[in-house]
Amino acid sequence: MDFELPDDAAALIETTRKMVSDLMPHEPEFQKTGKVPAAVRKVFRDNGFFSLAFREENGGMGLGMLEICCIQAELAHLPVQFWADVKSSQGPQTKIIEDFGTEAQRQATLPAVIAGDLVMAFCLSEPHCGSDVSAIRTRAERTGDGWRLNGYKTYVSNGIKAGQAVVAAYTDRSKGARDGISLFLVPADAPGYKLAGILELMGHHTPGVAELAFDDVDLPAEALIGEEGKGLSYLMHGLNAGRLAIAGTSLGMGEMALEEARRYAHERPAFGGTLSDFQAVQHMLADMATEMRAARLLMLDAAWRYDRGEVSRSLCAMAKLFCSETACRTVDTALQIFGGAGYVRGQRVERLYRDVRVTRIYEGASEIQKNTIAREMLRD
Amino acid sequence: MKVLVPVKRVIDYNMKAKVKSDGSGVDLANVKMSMNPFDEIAVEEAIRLREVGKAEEIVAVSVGVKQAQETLRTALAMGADRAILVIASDDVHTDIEPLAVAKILKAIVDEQQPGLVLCGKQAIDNDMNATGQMLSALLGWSQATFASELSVDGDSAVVTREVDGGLQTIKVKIPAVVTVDLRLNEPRYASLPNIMKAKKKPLDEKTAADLGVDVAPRLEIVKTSEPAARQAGEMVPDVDTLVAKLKEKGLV
Repeated sequence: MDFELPDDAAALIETTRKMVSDLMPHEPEFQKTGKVPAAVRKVFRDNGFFSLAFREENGGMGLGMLEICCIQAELAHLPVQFWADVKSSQGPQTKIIEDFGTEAQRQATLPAVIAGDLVMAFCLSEPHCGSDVSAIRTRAERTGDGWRLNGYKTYVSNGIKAGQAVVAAYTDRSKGARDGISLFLVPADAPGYKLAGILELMGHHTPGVAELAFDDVDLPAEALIGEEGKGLSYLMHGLNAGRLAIAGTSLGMGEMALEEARRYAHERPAFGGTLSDFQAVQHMLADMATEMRAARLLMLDAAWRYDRGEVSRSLCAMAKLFCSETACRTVDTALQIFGGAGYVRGQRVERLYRDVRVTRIYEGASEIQKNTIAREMLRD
Repeated sequence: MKVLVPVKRVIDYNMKAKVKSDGSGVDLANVKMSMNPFDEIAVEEAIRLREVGKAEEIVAVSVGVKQAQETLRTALAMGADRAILVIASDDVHTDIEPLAVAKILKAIVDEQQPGLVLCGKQAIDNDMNATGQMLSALLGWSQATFASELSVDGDSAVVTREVDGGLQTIKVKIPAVVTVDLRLNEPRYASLPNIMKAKKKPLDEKTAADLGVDVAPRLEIVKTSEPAARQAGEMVPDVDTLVAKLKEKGLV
């Protein structure tokens, strides 16, 4: 049995680590202004970060989930806003276009996404429903030779600056979610497409997520992605990869907090020594390190199997569940080690404390992951 | 013009070097290794020369253990066109001495016929600062060391050198050996797509024996020891005490 990362993955991670460490000094300025310095996006654009997940024939690097999760864990050391666009280039909105879209839809989006010029939004959640996809109210009705879209979407990451959106809507409610939901590619400049509101968040606090309204948006027949009524299966298609990627995000945040706490405990003078002299603090660090290591191994195993074609809903759910829960605990303990200093705006652990919390919620809350794991266990 | 860039695999500059328990050298087993930072600057400069049309091909070469192919892959990922690995040892703890490296590089130069050899001014492991100079002597070529600016024009190169007391600008005939200093440029990253593409670029392997160079060491390492540990500082309660202490020690 070999626990070493493949050479390619190791080289990609190493380079990402170097870039991340060079970008870290931009954090204080960002914490002050809330604006992502232009240099950050340039580094990601110049070094191919928007192409990671796409297949080679579409101009991408065709990386597997092992590489993507590990790269994501490195990026997650930086403020979320630095890499949010990179993450969105790997999200369901682009993967669905790549896997199920028409050639015209691919041409209209993928090259611009890969070049770092286009951000796409994914519109699924609505004010009254999240994980319960079947409850969406957005609908698309046939018109003469196209569709008319009506509905309201919320928690749209990157919705503020998206140029194109993938929108889930019922095309035939009588067929239920399984056969009645379809996906549409909607350009942000379509008449009736409106940025209806911005939700400020606890973490990821600027620029927030968008609420988008679709009022009688007329779409041509070609706006339909894949086949009519297959929306739910397309959504499910990218589910496991999405969960693995969040395992990577939360893992990176937890590991960053652990490193911050280790360094601080070592430096902070206390009672004639340093914090790290105290066994209570040593045990905290030992627990954090052990749990984060377990989380990393669980993620690596799930991602490695995924790339080998052994896609297991249960393993992906376990990785997402454990990495996010563990990362939240680790960040919390890190803040405890920092004491008052960790509660101060501008401190990295304070930022991580706010940012990490959502990893237990989005891409399926922890409770949903447990449902999945139990269902797979109890399946006949 | 073809540019040859020798690159060395050295202990990563972020690593804390530890001396082996028998004092025979620095422990390099399971330690992160990277390209010598000055060599990265040389690779970057070669790429810039190609970008402005002054170079057509960049060949990276490394002399050492088999694992140096990782270093060459980095050079290829940054932008070198092809690479040559000269295996001169199978022990990561054996450092090939500058004269042997220079002789090997001379053989490579004879074979490849580059117009310019761009080297790092020294490697950060042993700080010998000798290979480039020895190579120019063996080749009978011009040399310009410690370059902080470089421009190539026709059959000559203008090099600004960082010397004690300031900057010196010299003009040398090409072919030449130029060794580069820290401030010449800021090396680019190997982009992620280029890391993947680098796997497909040619990397030839040779051995020192193929080139007829004897790499047996001429130097004997008597002892390697860690620098003396720094004494802990003293905390003073206020500025007045600080000033008084500094005066006491004759520092202000």
